[in-house]
Amino acid sequence: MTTSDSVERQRLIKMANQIADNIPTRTAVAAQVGQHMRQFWTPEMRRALQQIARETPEVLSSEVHAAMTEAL
Amino acid sequence: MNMVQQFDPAQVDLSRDLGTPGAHSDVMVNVFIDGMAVSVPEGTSVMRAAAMVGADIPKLCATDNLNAFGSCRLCLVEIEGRPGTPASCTTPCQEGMSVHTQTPRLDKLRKGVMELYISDHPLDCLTCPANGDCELQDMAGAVGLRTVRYGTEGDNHLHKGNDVSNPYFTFDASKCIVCSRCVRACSEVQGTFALTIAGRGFGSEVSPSQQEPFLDSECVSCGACVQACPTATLQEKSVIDLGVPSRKVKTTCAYCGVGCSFVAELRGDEVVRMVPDKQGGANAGHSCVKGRFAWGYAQHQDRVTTPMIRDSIAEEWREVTWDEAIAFAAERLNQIKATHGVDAIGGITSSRCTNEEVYVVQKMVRAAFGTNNVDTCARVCHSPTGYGLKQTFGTSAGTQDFASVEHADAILVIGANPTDAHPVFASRMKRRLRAGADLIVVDPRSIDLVRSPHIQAEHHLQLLPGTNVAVLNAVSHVIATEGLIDEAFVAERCDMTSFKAWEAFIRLPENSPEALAEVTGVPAEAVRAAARAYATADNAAIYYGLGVTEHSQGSTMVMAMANLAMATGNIGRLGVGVNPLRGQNNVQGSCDMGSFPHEFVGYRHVSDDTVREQFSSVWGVSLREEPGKRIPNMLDAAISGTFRGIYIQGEDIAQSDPNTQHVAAALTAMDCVIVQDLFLNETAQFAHVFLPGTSFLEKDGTFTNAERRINRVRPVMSSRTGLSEWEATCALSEAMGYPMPYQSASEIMDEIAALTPTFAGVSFELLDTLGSVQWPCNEQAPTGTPIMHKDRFVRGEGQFMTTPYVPTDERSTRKFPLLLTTGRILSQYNVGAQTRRTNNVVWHGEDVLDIHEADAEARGVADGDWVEISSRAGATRMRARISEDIPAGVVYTTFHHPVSGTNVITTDNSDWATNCPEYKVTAVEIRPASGQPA
Repeated sequence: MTTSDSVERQRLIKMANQIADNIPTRTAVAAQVGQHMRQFWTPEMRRALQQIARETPEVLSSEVHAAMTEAL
Repeated sequence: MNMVQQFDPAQVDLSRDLGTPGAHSDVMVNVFIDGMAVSVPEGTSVMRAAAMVGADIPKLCATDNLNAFGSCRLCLVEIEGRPGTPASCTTPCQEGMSVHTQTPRLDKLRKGVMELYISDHPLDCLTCPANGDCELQDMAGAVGLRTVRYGTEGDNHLHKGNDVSNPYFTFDASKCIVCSRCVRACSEVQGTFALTIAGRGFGSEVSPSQQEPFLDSECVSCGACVQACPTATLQEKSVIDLGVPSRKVKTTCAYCGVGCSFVAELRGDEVVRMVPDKQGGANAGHSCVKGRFAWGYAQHQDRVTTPMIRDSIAEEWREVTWDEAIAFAAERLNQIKATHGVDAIGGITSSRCTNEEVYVVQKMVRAAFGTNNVDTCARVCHSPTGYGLKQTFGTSAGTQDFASVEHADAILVIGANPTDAHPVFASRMKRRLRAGADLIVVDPRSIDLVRSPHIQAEHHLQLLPGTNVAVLNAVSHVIATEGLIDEAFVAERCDMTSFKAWEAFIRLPENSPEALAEVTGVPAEAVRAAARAYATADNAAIYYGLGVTEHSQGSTMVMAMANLAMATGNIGRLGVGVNPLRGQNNVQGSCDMGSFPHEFVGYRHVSDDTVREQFSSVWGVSLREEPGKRIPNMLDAAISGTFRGIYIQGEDIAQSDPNTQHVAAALTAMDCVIVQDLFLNETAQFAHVFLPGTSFLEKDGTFTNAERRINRVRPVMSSRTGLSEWEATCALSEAMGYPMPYQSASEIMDEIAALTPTFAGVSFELLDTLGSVQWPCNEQAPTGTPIMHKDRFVRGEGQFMTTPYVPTDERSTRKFPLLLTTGRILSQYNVGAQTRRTNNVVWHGEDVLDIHEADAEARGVADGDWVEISSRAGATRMRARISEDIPAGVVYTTFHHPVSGTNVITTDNSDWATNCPEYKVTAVEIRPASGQPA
């Protein structure tokens, strides 16, 4: 992992966890996180996050993990 | 009266000066003016009624944007059955009144009055800068003055001096007739009260502040006094230098989101002055120092008017032809596409460009580049507005027109500083506040509105930066728990499931003002009082700015405001609403035009098959169904090597975007950076292609302001670059293999209208007929929609969203104990590229850091000292200014000068939903420094 990879990776982790923390209506948060990402994230970003979830699951919140299990 | 003719009021030319303001009444009064019958609203002055029928009465102290004053005694009339000769400006029409405006008696009286005026006025008409544009001169002619019997031996004012301190206008007291129009304009129109009449009787004279030079006074240089002056006393320096203008073109200002209409007055191809258009829907004849005077940048020597290219950013620029520059840019972008794929390139549109220019850029990115990697500078300002209002109301736009504020009874200003950033709207708001509306300000700073002449905010919730959502949750908690919800409105207009969820959430004790006081720094009772004031007003309106959006919870805060308005029934009529004050003139328009990577024009998602097929069909190209990259995603990908080429239209991301070091690294890493701008801005340091942009004075198109008003921008002077910006974009697109053969900007708007339901009725022809129009403009609303969501929300039922407060990660620590927040000042605009190239620098030559006395003292900092400001992102230096406007623990600065490096210290924290940067909260430390770095 290069430094530049790390910058992009860290940004994705932060964004994903932030979305999960801030989704306004606190029911079915994981589904909303997934929907938000489908609506606003590029496919590459979603794939990169899935890879992060596989490789370092501990850096993502449980809601983000749950969202990852859905088809992004 | 057998010769009576009935006058048709529809014939009145409202662009003329009718002497006094129009009256608003449903009761009509019938009067006769020199035998002509006219029907006018009750309260209309005799002067106005006469002007309507073309019987202009001589006047000097009267003008129709000021209340009647009755001082000049020139507008006398005779009224049948009444004694004397009353002033027509202060005499209201009454039923059956028969007025005579021209009689021998009146002629004699008027001549006598004019003779006295002229006896104390320099008789230098032939060399006077207002020669041919002087009401005093006109009136002397109108009354037939031929001789002046009084000599100049006695006392007079001809020796009075000329104040030239203001960079834009002079005040020649020897020419002043003390009509008080300037004083009244400053008070009634602008609301600054900088001018007064000092002295009495013969010694009366206009005085800026306490008889100070204009530049040293409280004058804000809005130009209202200059416009009101009937003589050459207050005169634009440009008119003195260049002469009286000989032709006029109506256009729209290129500064803030108010979008003022102006009449550009020229001699040949040279702009002499910009005069606010009294028919302007947004500004109704008013202006600010930027729009009125700071347009000289368009002809500044720094402008680059020839295309330039270079192989690498280490090389010098080479001037080339348009064809060479376009071919160079196209080859580089196509090469990147071929090597790295279509997602390795993208574009950024500008809110300083017209709708048509923005439209073609996003079309080029989607159709010629083949990607949805297009974003706009609204990413860093009002993207949370788009997200929040769409979720709750169904569309991304403010709900009202500006005139609506005149009907508000409580005005809630959150995270906005209208007197500095949206001054013309602020003047309108202040007029309503002076008339008695309650003012609630939610801001860490004591902005001018909190306490200014004749205005005192009833409630100032001086919260800690980063706690907006907590404060608004507390306000809503009070409303929900004290029985202040408009149950009928909610039941009729809103989604009840979402309302019940929101109500249950907002009633939680954790959202009470008492529970949140420690977090927000706002006393609970102050929150409760403000909440009651908002909820119990007949009409309560919210106005907000970047102090709402530029936070990690910017989108949440927008939804919290929408909740508040819906819960109290303050949506869908005059005097209410949720109103974003947009930063740049075409923020609304650039967002409308499909600049976001997930939306086509009109806020329709790229994944919508029906919409996408519609665009594919008209554009003749297959379009992507997945969102593209936002600006921060593009920059991150550039650093990782997967994003390598960008087209940047009229935007200086190297200065305006947060974490300058990160932006610079990303731009440096790219193979092709194309900058289209007026000047070699900070971003151009990293560019390989520079395409000269056009100023607003050369553009042909439309801007859409914060009230969704589409205004025409007309070419005032000939192009300095040889090519319109939309033509340059189309040339690049064609060179990349996708022709966009438009013949005119009007044709581009026709395509926008054909593809966008909310713009379906918009055309240049309609705009030229109506002056302006507010979208939606279509079959259902052929002349536009001043107020949205009247009978139903765009999304059907209003959607409440629960808004939990989530503190930002950016908190004060032992290492960085202060919170920095940023903003604008009146005389400068955004990154200063325009205003720094005007005489506005006399008011703001450098950015300074405002710091509370206690924080300064604790750090050994005195007023005017250089200080270093450091954050976890970086450090910069500027001078400190001890300020009472901010609380201890908070510091404030502006970002108008690149040398200040304000965004060197802002971080990459951003809004959770939109990635709008959190400019408003940066933890910093301040320490004394020896000077500014090179």
